[in-house]
Amino acid sequence: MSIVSTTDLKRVYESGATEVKAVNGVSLSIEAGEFAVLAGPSGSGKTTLLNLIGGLDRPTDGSVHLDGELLNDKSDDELTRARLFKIGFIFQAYNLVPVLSAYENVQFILQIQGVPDSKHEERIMPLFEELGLSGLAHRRPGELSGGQQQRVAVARAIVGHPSIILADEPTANLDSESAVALLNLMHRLNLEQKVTFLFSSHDKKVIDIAQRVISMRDGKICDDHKKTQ
Amino acid sequence: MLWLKLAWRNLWRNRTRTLVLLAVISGSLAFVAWMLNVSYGSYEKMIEDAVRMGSGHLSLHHPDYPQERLSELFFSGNEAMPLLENRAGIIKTLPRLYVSALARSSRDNRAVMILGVDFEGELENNPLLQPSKTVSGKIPASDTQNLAYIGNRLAENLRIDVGKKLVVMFQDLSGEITSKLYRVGGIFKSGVNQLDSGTIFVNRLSLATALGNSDALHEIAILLADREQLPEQLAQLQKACAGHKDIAVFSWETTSKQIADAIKMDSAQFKFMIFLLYVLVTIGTINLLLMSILERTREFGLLRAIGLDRRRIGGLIFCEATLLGIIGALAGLVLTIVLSLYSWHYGLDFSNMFGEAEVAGMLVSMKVNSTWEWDWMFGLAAGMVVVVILAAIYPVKKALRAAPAEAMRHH
Repeated sequence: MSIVSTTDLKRVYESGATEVKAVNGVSLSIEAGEFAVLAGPSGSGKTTLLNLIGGLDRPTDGSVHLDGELLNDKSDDELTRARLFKIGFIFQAYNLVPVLSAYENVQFILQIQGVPDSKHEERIMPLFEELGLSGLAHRRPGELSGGQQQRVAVARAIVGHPSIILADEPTANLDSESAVALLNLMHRLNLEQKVTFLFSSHDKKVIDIAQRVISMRDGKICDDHKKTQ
Repeated sequence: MLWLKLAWRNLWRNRTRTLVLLAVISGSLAFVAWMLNVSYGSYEKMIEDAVRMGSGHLSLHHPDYPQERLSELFFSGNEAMPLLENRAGIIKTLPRLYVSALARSSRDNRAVMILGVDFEGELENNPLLQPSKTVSGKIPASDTQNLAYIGNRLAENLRIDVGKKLVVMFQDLSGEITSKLYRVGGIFKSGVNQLDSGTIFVNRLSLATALGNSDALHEIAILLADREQLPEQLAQLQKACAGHKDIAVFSWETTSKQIADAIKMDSAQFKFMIFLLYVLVTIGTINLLLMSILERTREFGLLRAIGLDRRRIGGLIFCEATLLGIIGALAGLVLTIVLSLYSWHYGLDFSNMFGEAEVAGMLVSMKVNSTWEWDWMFGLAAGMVVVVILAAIYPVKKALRAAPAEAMRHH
């Protein structure tokens, strides 16, 4: 079943008289349970494509479907709601709320989803255990290492049971060891819990572990292949 | 609860900035509310001094006397006094005569205003007829017919002293020029030039007799136990005076119109100052909130990315502003109470700086005890909270303008 599909997707930025085609006619489909990576050099359009799929940006042309629903026509509030319930985000710079503890950062999603307070702990603590964050629940982001912060970001992304996790360069700020540990963790979540992941990365470690590699250059897909297990 | 926690912690991200903002809010509120308490205390004092020295909370006059101030516009004391007998709420009635005259000594002469009073009654109530104001001799007793109590500047101008003779010349009620001899019994110094250089207090009966009608009065000043009862007492006395064509009742706001107007003008200026202060606090708050919000643009982008809509983010910022306003207002109220407690208990004495003030020819004490204007204090505090919340509108709009992806690129 297709979670995400794009058809002839374009995003053009205008800078004075100059037009920059960041995404230029991308048609793509991501199936449930996939562990895919958008690979390519800086400026190839990976992050822009991820933002369009995630409803963080609006396309100049073409269409994006998420869980069978067309995102193009949705209002800002409808897009926000779609992001809340259907997409989990992991960012390069972790982007945790600095004044909330690790636990509260994750709880925040459940709170805005309207999950009753009584259910929060039973949803969050097993996740923390699985991600090795049990002893760090009450620490604030400033008191955590980069790898630990990114694991909290993973917990935040998956706690709301989204249809897909979009991860933009998730290992870019991590040292090699932390990056491998994080990738293994996400891979395990993919295998055991069937969580769908779509990364953007030019990190070889990410590309090596991904089941599907979608290569981009100049805003277009230049290669798309699935690895055999 | 998490929202409140988040708003509270956001507030203290930049401790110094928040403390500065709280100091601005609470300091401004305390300054205005305390000044208001002091001002209302000074108004109270001004009114009380004016009504005791002037025409009382209420006063009886000939209907045309307050406008014309002519000697012949008198009324009968025997007719008027029964109207005031056994009335609850009236603590004192002070019958008086006012006569414009020429005062002469063996050395010089001066135009003066003679006040015929009952010294005993005035002593308890009139701030001018107090031993502390007497610089020479003493205040005459009520039964002394021919002693005068005069201002020190008048004594200097006439070059007379205690025990010396003084002749006053005036028109009697039949229009004839008449004169009366007094001896100086005491000399007072109020510090108000108009009073010190042109006022003579004498026994009322002696003056009335010299005028040609021992029953004549120009005024009965009425002091009430409680000024709040004034409208009710005014209405009752108006009813009682209805059958007496030469007697009418007036409130202090009519007979001391200049004082009432001065208070109104001062009060209006004060309200304008409050308005200006609110504008300044609003500008300061907008500025500091804007700084605090713009540096979180990236974070607001993130919150929108993970599913928080504009309404909720706006709500979060308003929640922060509300907390800020409430803490600032509470701190301001506490500060106001501390300051007001001091000025209420000990009073603020400006007499060393300014001496005693003259307002519309009345002597007003410069020692002020503040009052407790609770309605105003809470109203100003609530107004301050509203101002801080309103000040967040522009920063909120600015924070939510950018699309999430754009906001997240912000550094």
